Amino acid sequence: MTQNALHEMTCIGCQSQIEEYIAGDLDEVTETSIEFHLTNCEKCQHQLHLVKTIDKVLVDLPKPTTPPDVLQKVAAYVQENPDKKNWIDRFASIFTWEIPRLLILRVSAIVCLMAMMIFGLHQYQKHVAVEQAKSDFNYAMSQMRYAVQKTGLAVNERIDSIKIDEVQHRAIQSTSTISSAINMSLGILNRLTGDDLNSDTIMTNTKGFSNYSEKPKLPIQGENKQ
Amino acid sequence: MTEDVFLDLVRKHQDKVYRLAFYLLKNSEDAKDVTQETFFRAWQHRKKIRQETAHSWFLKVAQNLCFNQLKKRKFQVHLSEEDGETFENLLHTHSYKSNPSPDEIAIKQEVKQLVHQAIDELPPNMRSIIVMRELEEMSYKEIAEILNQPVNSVKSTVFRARKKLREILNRLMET
Repeated sequence: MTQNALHEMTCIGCQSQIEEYIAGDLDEVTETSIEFHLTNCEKCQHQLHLVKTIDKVLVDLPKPTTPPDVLQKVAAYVQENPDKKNWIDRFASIFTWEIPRLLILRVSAIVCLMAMMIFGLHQYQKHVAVEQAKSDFNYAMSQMRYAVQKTGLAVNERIDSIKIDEVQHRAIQSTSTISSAINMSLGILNRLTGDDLNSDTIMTNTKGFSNYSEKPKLPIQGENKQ
Repeated sequence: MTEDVFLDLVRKHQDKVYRLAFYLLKNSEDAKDVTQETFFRAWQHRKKIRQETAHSWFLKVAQNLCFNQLKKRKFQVHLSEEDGETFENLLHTHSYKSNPSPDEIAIKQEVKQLVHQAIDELPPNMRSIIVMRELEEMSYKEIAEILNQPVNSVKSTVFRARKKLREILNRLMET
């Protein structure tokens, strides 16, 4: 430590830390600078003496004892208000022992956690099943739409003289009216061709067609007439 | 907690409670009332109290009761100070007791009286902490539990109380 650091301690700084100095609660540097200051400052020495005097008086403060009638009155009060146990208290007393209570709390927490996990898993499985059904339904609908489209194309190619584009357009309009569109288109076809077509035969004919080169064989208008 | 266990706890800790109340209220009758009230309340709340921390609970309740009473005193003329032994009487008789220790001989009686007067002038919260620390020789940790404060905060309050004591003493010595 430099000499300057020792001289830096002022009376105010010293006096504000005398209590901590006596209690040994200061760092080494501050303690040394206070010690150095105290050797040269009578005013602070007086304050140090004062603090030591206070300490001695505090150690020897009078210790009055409780008047005896306090205990008597407390004992009387306790007897007047005895520890009555009703059935709820008795039942509750089972849980007053610290360790079982903690154990019960922990077990119930684990049970709750497991129940929540099982419920969550169950809900997830339901969700997966619903998603699967949804995708299956969408696939079936797309197949149906494809079949209807194919039917429209086939009819247009074979029966050029008659404009039945409405079959294809109506069927593709929306998935909600798709079945009615199919039925309507089949009805028109039946009326035109005289064949008894239904949706099953159309699906069978169009199923497996991956491109437009394979076309379903529909009866030709001339043949029907014969 | 059974009645016997509770009364044992009362026997063990009643002096601490009474002394804290006495130093805060500066009157034996009021201190007695607060001590009784503390134990009555403790019996009412016996299910919440654990034996190991009972003394903290007692001192906390006693301190709160004393602070409440001191608040009430601000708004009314306190008539009961003349009943029973007062704080000044106790300190005065203690200063001039017949068998002083060697330390006490070294300290002039007048100075001792001034220190007692300075303690008397301390604010209640500081006086309470000084009583717990110096009179009951409680650790900072124990005091911190009672006051619901961090240990460092309690420590700094103790030092502030001692500085305040020195300030008051300086003022008293000048006059």
